[in-house]
Amino acid sequence: VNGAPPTEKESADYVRMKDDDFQDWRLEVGGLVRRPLSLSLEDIRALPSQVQITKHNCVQGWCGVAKWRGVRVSEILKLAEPLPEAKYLKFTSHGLSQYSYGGKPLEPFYEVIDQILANHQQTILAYEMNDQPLPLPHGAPLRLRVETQLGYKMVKYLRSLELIADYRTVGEGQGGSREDAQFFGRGAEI
Amino acid sequence: LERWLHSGTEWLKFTKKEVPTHRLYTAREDEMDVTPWIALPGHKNIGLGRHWHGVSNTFWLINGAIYIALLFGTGEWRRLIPTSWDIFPRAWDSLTTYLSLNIPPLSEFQPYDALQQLAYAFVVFILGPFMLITGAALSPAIAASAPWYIKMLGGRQAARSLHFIGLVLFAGFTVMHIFLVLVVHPRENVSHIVLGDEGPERFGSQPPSGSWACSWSSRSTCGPRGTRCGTGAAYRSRSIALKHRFASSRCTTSLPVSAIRSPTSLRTTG
Repeated sequence: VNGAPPTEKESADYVRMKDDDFQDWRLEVGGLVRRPLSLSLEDIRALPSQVQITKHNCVQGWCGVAKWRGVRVSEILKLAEPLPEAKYLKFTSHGLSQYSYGGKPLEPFYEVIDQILANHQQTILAYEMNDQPLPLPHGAPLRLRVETQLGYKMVKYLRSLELIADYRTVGEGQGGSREDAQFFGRGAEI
Repeated sequence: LERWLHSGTEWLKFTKKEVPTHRLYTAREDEMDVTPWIALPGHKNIGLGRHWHGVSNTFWLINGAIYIALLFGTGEWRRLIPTSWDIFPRAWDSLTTYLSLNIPPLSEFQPYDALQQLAYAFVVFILGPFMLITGAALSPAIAASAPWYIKMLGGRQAARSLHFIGLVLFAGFTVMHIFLVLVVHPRENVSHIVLGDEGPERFGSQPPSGSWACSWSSRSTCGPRGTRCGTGAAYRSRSIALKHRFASSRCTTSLPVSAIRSPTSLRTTG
């Protein structure tokens, strides 16, 4: 997954919000949508929630089972009303990517999924893990769960969700930080 | 985190790294640079290893599908699938022959000897599909849509273990297969593989037989002294024949005639 909680150096904002119990944290939903949103943790908890017990599969081979509670990404999309050309969703973290392509400065970690994955019934934004508020190392306060994919797709410490037309126009154009810098490949289902 | 991952329950470990219990440990710290001599190319970038795996598997699957389709389309499956129980005692005989550092006579290869046939049938019809089945169980997409499939194999980690054991068997088979091709009746084997028949007119008519320990490892033991092993002469005659570009042989071995089969009778395809 995408690393340890962001440090002061990576995101001073995140550290400040964390110390304040994420009172000021917001998920910014924007890009190709009719209604850009700025959702607090309370807003997200007020949306219909679902629970799923799933296995997290890492590209490295390890795996772990956990119980997650969260809101379906499709619920967020309903609220934000994507434009017809919004084919992809870009999730960005408060944490920085651990690697960059060609030694460029590190950018915030991001991953892109398409509309089909986004609307999968087990694709959620999780705020609880094993009946507890999402623990810090697991992506507090909110993380993405895409259960049909390998772990690197599931952005932790979420900052924003942006609807975009094409993944090739963001980052290095490979569809995510792992894809850009580490050749992981957009096909994360095997 | 520790309890979540059940670290420490593994049965095989290729790293000295320990997952610490007193602090946060991320997957990044678990990354290792492994030389492409034993791992897939990519060093620390396991993403590249995945691509190599994907590309070579695609080829492997297509190749295997065509091969199996042709096996059954042409009747050649009879070369691989045993149709008689006596294959087992014959394979045992063959195994004891090899283990006593001898080579079964050429007449046993019709076109494969019993042990060889069993090994091929195992790899093509059991090990190949086994790798396909256990490999598919490592996919999160299949785990999400068909959890029963993963459970059937005992979970993802059990499937990984089985997949790895399959890899070891495949690698062991490959090494043994190539080794034996070059050691057991190599002229006939290579001719058969490359030309499609025994090609006696190109290789000389005296198939070697007897102790393979002599024929491959110890030129100094067998070659110069010659008489110590039954095949010393055969070995020399083979190298002579090879020197003369497979011209008809000058060898004067005293092989039993029964060990020499007509090449046409070896082209048995059922």
